[in-house]
Amino acid sequence: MKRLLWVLPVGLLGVALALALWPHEPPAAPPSGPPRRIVCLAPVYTEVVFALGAGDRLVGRSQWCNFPPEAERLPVVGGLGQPNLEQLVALQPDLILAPALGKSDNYEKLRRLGFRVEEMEPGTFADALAGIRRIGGWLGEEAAAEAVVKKIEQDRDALVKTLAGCPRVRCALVVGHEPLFVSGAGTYLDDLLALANAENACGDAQGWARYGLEDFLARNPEVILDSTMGNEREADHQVVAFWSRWTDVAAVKDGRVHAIDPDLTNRPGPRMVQAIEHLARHLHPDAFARGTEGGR
Amino acid sequence: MTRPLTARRWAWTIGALALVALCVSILGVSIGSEDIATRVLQGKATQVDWTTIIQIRLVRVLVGLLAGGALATAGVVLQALFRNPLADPFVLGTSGGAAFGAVVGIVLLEDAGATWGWVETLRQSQVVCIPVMAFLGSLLSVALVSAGAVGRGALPTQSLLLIGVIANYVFTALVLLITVKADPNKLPRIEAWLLGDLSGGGFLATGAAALLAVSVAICAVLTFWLARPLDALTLGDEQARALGVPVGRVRWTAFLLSSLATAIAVAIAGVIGFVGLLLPHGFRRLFGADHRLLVPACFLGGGTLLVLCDIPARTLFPQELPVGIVTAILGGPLFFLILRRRSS
Amino acid sequence: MTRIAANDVSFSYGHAAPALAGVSVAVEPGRVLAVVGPNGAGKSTLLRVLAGLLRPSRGEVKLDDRPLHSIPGRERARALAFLAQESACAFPYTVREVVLMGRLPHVGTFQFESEVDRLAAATAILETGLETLADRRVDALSAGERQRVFLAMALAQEPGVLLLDEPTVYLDVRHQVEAFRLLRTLARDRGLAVGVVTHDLGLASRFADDVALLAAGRLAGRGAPAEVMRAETLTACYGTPIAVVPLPDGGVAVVPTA
Repeated sequence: MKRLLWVLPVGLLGVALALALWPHEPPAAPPSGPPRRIVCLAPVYTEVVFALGAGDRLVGRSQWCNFPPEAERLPVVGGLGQPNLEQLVALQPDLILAPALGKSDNYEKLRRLGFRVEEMEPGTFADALAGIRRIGGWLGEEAAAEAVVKKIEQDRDALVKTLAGCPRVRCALVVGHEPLFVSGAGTYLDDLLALANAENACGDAQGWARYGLEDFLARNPEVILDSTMGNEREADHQVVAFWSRWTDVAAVKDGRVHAIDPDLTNRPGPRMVQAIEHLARHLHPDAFARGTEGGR
Repeated sequence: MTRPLTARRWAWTIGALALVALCVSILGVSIGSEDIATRVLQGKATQVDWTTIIQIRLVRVLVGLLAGGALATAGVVLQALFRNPLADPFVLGTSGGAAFGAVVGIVLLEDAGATWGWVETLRQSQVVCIPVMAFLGSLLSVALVSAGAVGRGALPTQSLLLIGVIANYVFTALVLLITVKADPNKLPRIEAWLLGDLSGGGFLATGAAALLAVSVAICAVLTFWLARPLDALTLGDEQARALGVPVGRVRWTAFLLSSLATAIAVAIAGVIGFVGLLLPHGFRRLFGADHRLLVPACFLGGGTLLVLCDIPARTLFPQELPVGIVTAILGGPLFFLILRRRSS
Repeated sequence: MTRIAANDVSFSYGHAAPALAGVSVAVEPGRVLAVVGPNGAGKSTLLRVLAGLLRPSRGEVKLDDRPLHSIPGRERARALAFLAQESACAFPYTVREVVLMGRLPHVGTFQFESEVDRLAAATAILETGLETLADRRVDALSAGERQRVFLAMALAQEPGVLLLDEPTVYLDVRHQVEAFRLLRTLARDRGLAVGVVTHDLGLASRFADDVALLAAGRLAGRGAPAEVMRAETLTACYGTPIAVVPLPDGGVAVVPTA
């Protein structure tokens, strides 16, 4: 009887070993040619694909992909980088554009099942342009990508020229309340700020950083741009109300506390220059009072 | 209350629980976001459907069975070792160590891979991945806790408990430290890991089945060799020794095996509470305290419970709920009921 | 018919003064040996050394003619039962289940108890008067009832040698007498070698065949109760005046005076 008892555990370990070493054949490579069924797991990629004129090739999106409006007709397959695998697999995409901050284990599984997952990291303004070119390459729309990048660079140069004469204000980019989080040096927002001819008041911090309130008050920014209230209608009021108690801060005294729309400013994609403009309108109101056109 | 255990009662109980586990597993494979079940029944299932069933749903079921089973078994064994029905599998620091390993992996692995070629090769080949890092972290914690307890003969439960609590605190503090200092882009990944889920990460069906086989093997060893000695151990070390039980060997083996099982479960599914504490408790009231029946029953019951809890976790809302939340929501009131019954 | 004997054993806990120094004592089959003495004299230590739970630093223990420590645990447990003074009960086992655990040395690694085992357990339950409590949970019993349960468990082992550490501490007078009477019956009728550590000098003198008196880790007296339990010896040993009063039925009452 004692001998028999060994059979089960040892047998199971043998089975486990066999299963672990089971050769897994990745599914056959899809037919060549640019991808025709694309799923984007972050809003910025949806915007890029539409900007490249390939919007008709999209078959799925994340629940946060809300621009352009046509995107909202696409089926939702999950949150930001958190796809519902079943729904995603059912769509049978031949290219999945995913943010690197998602659950990478899921991406690994998708790759094992034969799907093509391209992970992209957020970066600076220049990284974003390179990203657009990369996506263009994958989609076979290199020409369109070049055109988009060129247009962005042109608009950027024009905007920078317009703002060149303006005083270089000190601005704080607030991304979180209680505890206070700011967008420090090396972030995408920091890049935008520099292009908008402003100095990052919290530039001593690296990346998205927790910032001490004392240090913040000592920095005394002239403008506060706060993205914590999202794109709610009352965002501006709420942001102003939050900062109203710190009456010693120059920005509060001068009434230069504004909410910014993260849907625009957190997407390093085709609307980057509009994002700069969005910031610049608050930073250099005089430049725009002269009657320059452009959206919010 | 219960008559002493006979072979018949054992076979019938285990058989019934295995059947329930099988039914719940079939249920788990049939339910999901896409209505594949009807297509299968009509014989119109496509290749994609089968991929979904096997590589997505079956993997979840397998992970649920192995994690739930491992946690419940580890829980019941630790409760016997500590002679305390309130012990749970994380009390010896395995969860803290696993979190530490996983977070180190998430935050440092890519950068280390950029610096050292061999790390990058290991990373690319998936030999070193987040579940492996979590598992190693768990083992590290077990090693440290054991080192604190070694040399005192038969596993001293008092000091072990304290060392385990300390280990959990220290590792949790390290996790928080790394989180605060880390690149904020990594935070969502850390959070996702800490919440835990049954998706099995990058594991495919064969990998998940392999882990389940290991889990069952551990439970089998615990049942066949250690269950009856565990019964004796609950009477006191001295009394157990008087009955001929090699107390030191049994305690160490039981401790190491249950820690191994917990490490595997946490590495692949994250930290899921309640299963390791509640299920042994409830089953002990239902089936009696004889560990020859209790250990395998808890394995089957724990697996069934997790697979069952996973069904609403992934179908109720479009955003997948971490299964630990469902077990907590169910577990809390259930535990309360059990406590009330106990006093009445 | 098993005999257990300690030859010139010494034992120390850690680096403290020796708890036992050169003690030689034997528990003979068919006889009850009472081990008595003041607190800290080494009685429980001696019992544990005899039971194989402690290893003497000098001297050896022999079960029949075999050195005790050369005998594997399970085989030893089939021949020798030890009843600890305190036993835990954290889980809801029933009386029957606990008594059945006494069959552990006889049952295989993953086997279920057979009819023989169930019979041994049932007999032990009857002998200790636990029939009415047999299906109750042990953690719901009184301390005295629990003590009888563990005694039954030791009996279910069907040992040749029975060693008990203060088995009557929580029992009332009637159950104390019944327990000792049971021990004497087991010795006389079944040929068990019974060794009992007890504080109750009266019961010891009445029911024991041999008495070993320990003081400060040494043997202060060994032999028949009448010889060992004399007033002078006891007074000297315990450090308090003790009188040994003869009773009408031939026994003695051992009582403190002053």
